[in-house]
Amino acid sequence: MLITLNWLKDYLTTGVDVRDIVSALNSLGLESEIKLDRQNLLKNFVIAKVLKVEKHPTVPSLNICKVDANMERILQIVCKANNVREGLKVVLAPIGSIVPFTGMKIDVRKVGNVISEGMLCSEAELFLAKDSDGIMEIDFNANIGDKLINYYSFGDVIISIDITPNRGDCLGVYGIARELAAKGLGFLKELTLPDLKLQSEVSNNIKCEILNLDLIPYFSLWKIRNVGNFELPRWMKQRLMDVEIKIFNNILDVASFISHATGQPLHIYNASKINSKISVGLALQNQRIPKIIDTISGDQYNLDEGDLVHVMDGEVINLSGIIGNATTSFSKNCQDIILEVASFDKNVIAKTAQRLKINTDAKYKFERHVDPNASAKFALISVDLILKLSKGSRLEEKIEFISKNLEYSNEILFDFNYLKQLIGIELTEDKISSLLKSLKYEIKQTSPQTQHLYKVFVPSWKSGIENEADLCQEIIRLYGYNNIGAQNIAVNLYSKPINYRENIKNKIRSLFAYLGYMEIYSWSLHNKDGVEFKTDSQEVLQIENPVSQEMSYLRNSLLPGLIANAKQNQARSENVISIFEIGTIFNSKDISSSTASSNLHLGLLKTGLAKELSLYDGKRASDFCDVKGVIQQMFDELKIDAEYSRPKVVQSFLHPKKSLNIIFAGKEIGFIAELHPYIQKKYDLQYKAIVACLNLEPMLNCSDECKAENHFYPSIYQKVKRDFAFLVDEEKDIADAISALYGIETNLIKQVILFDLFSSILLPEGKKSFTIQVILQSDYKTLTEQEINDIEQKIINFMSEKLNADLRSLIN
Amino acid sequence: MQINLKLVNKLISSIKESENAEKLKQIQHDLLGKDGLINNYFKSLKGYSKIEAQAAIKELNQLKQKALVLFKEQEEFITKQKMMLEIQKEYLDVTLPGRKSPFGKLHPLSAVINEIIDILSVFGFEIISGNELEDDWHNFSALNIPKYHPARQMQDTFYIKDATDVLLRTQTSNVQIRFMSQVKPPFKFLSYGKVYRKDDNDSTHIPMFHQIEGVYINKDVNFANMKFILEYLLHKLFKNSVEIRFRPSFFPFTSPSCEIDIKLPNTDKWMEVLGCGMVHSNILKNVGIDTKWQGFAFGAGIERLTMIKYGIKDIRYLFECNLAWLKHYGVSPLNLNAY
Repeated sequence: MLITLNWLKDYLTTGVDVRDIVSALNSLGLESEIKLDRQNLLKNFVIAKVLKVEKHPTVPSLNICKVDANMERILQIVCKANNVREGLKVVLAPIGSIVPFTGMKIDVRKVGNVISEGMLCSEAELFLAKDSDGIMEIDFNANIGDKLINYYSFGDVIISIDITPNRGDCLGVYGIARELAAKGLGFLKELTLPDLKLQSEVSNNIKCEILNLDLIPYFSLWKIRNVGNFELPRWMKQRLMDVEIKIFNNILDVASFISHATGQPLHIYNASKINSKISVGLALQNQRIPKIIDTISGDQYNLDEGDLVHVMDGEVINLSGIIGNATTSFSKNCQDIILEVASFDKNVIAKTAQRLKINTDAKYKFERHVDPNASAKFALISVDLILKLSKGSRLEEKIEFISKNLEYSNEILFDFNYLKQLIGIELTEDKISSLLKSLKYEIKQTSPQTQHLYKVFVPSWKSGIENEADLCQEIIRLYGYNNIGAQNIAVNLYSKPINYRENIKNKIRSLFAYLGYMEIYSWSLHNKDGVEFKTDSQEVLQIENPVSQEMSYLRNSLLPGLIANAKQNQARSENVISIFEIGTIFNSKDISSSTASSNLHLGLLKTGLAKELSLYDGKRASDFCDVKGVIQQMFDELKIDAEYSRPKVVQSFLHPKKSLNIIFAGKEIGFIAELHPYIQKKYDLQYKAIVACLNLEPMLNCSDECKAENHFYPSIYQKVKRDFAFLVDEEKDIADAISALYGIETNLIKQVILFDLFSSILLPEGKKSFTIQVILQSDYKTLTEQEINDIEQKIINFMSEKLNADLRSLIN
Repeated sequence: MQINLKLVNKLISSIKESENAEKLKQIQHDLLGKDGLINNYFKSLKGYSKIEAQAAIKELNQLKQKALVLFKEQEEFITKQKMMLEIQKEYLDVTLPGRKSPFGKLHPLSAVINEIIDILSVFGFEIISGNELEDDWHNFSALNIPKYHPARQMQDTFYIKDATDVLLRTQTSNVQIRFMSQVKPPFKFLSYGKVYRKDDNDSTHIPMFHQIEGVYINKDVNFANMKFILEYLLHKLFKNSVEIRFRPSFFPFTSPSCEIDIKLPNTDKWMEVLGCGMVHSNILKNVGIDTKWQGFAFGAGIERLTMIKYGIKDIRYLFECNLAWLKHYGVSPLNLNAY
């Protein structure tokens, strides 16, 4: 919400600087800042008079003006505006001033070879209007040489305030003045209520009944004849523009002005269309009415039983407190009006408006609370203002319904000791009382025996003050949150918890970062293309109300994000793209199970060169084993046993021959694979992309304790190294058999390393050669030649049996 | 027996003068060899009395030891000199770059989440993980945001198609409800993760972002304690370089409610970074906790904190995954828990 300093001063007597007002508003819970300080921005601008206008000799669009600004001499100013003319009073930006809109400093300069000693400004350049045509014309009585800011609201300061939904009481300038007065920043001016007399003999023309008095604490109709066409006063127009209220038509603008000033919404009828009895109540009680309304905004809405409506002649003419219908609402050139000032139940209004998705200013205010006790006063003020502005208009009739007991919105039993319990500050009872009283709460002692215990009456303009904690907020809000001293809290050093899941996640993150991978965060929402990466039979989840088609599905794999980002980074000419993400994925299982669970996955992608271009690493492209290596390293470092197996069925988006499943605790938890060439092509990836995706949940949920400590004593006996080269069929997976070598002499084979693998025309056709180094060592003795020979033979036999491999050479 | 010391010493001193291995070997032979000078003296001792012989043996052994040390020294000297001559022919351009294995980086969001968790861990907060798909009760109603409350308008919600009552959580507070419904107080926990709001996509808003929140419930933990913990958090996180302001606010799930603004160095603009307040009694009722317990809750947008901490101007950079950007703003794994 926007207010102006001058507007605030209509209700608040204060000499406090606007900066202090803003700071006080913040401390009261009304988040605010100065939006525009014309007082300061326009301080150098003066009223001037154009004495003479001549066309520029060479540039026809320019005028050379002689301008009197009551300075030592007459100024010469070059001006482009079409409306500049002799005798016109204008606003001058003198030498040295800064034009607010452009931020440009005015100097003596040459325009088309002619000296110009200042600038004549438009309203837009002065931040007096959003846009303007030509320079500003001073059409009011003003002295030449006077400061512009001394007139009307030209020197006003505009403050923007963020009003939280519980502060309906501050949706009018008056309410904000009341808050500042409570804080001691000035005095709230007493509202002077006019004594309005009906100026007519005819009466009882308007007929009205209220069916639900409990939902409509105040209701009034005021018939004003002959409103006519009047000009909105300049100051009022300026204020409306300053708070960004759209200007439509004099009477509607006056209504907007009052509503913004007081927080009280108004509705205006075309009086000539109101000729029968109006019934106001829940639609339920008007069974006969059509359940439809054509509103003034041109929309049609279907009504429900719980809606509050105005009915006339079997027709719904107003969705109470929200929007009127097209026929009866005020329209241009309407001479006689009926003004409705009322207060409606906020919950009913909110429910209707939200169901129908209608947003009007009235609805906004009503659903946040309109003070029913003030409506009668504001009605008088509204009518009075209209009568004053529209000469010749007269109040002809009024009808008013007032419920009783509007003075307090609530009554709360409050133990003053609770303030210390909840907030931790100790204030005397007098202090607490005085703070509450400043906010116009009324306090009564319950009985002399029960000290500290009081009955607190909540003023009618307040909403959402329902319990003792709410009262505490009121007290400390006025006392100042920043005046409450922070209190240290006892810390038990032994209580620092071990967060196993977090630890593992961070280990994984750090490990991949150490290995050169970049962590990314990508969108959980993506387009339909992302759906093809699903790995299970679960349904993909779609957003009912997406912001765009690009964000209409919930990811069921981390791959779409990784691939899209690989593509973008490739476009940025990155040589090495090694990225990973830890994030949640979604599928229909998440919504079918009754218990909520998290579904955290790890996704990793490598494409482009294996390593950044350097003197040492050449231009090798990333391959499958780069990624397999880091995944293996992750399991090794986490001391988690994982197994790998060739999948029986490969996902359609993965390379059928270059895929490997990851098995943990007997279950498949993910895969390492090269992307299928068609995916690589679809996403324009230049290089092969190798990906790994795995479900982290099984790993995150197995805690450290399940891993037993193994003891280790290094052997003191001699190690023996033997290199075996074998020949084997080219299309044979060899690594599993090599790993299995450990099993043939568990105590003696300490290490098996595959360190050479090649195919060559020098080898028999269809064969490849691989070389392993086996390290033998006993924990108890030095191995004899015979023992070593026995193991060598065993190894050769094992490879022959498992891989049908032939020994090419054996080297000591 | 008389040892010709002059002769022996002459030989010993010639060790240091020998320039190559051959010469050294010759002297060694002459002095210590089988028929060398010292051995010959030993041999000639046979006819002497025990006392005389002992004195001579002692002297000969000393000479022998002295010679051995000198031989060793001279041998090393000669070897080294020979090597020096050889390596003078070698050359290396030592200005060439070293072989490095560059690290990747952790995403700044991960770093900030970790830092917050680490800062607050001294107070004993444990981490509770949560779910991003949620129902109306846990995301709104149980948090004291009834269906038609204007507060709902602050959070425009994504709903899941073809599912009844399933939405993407708009805040991490759903975890509060799920946790507190199951665990008896006292407790204190943190939870963080992604939240979703149907919002614009601009430099400060995106439809998906991260929140972290904490709840501390005890018999007497109060507003002043909340101030202490959150001031501590922000001062630590921003290295005492920011001014902090507490401002009354409104959240349906807390009363009193509060927002914390920080003022960045060298500016006069306050920026809201954190919402907090004393847990509303309706929330405690909704999860079946007796109102003799009280406590506070707080929540913060992680992107906002990250942007302030690292001086990031546009929130969308965080999700753009530009590797060059990540190299600059990402955090080295060395610094994950060392700030």
